[in-house]
Amino acid sequence: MPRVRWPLEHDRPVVHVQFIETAAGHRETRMLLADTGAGGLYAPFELIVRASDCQRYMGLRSSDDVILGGAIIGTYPIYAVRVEIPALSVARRVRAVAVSDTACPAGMDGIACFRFLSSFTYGNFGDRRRFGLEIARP
Amino acid sequence: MRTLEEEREQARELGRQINREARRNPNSPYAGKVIGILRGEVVIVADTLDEVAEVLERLEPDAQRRYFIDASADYDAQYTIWMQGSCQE
Repeated sequence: MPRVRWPLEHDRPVVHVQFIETAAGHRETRMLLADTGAGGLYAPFELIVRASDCQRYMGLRSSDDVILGGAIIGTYPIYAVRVEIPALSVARRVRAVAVSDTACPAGMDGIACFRFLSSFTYGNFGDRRRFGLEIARP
Repeated sequence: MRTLEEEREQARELGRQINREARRNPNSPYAGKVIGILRGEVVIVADTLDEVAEVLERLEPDAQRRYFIDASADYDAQYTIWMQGSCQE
């Protein structure tokens, strides 16, 4: 199975994804905190990212907003954005909640939530200084 | 032509109707599907967000006017973010 691993960032697990601009195809890499405590398996969102990134990379918008509580509180819009993880040959649109810069974890571009992580096999794969994703078995 | 705000309100209302129906009736044609909405009308019912986005992007050049809804998702719930390391460093 294809697998990719990244070094921990300030001792925390991260994933690196590329955001793709639908019209121009322009892409930029974003580093997201891998957080299994962000939302549930059936949450209507997969990532939490800066509103400016959502505006730039959005393809469409959810007709309804989502209510967050805990570390991030409030009602926020959800956008569909195209992301890629080239090492895994993954390219798909994901549901991203748009939040203010200050709501993002310090030093990160956002959060990869449990619904996103659970679409892969995830973990340290035997190296506690890294975090990685593997294409989930069917 | 409707303003962006009017279209947004229309999409929100239609999305809520679909969401209520799909969550109440598991046999609804919308249950478990992703719905694409343009100008206040359903234009595609599909299994994936990618399928919906591809159709909507072909039909409407303005990203601000393209809407989707996960028909069976719970948008009334509050989703807790137990962010690790949420204390600012």
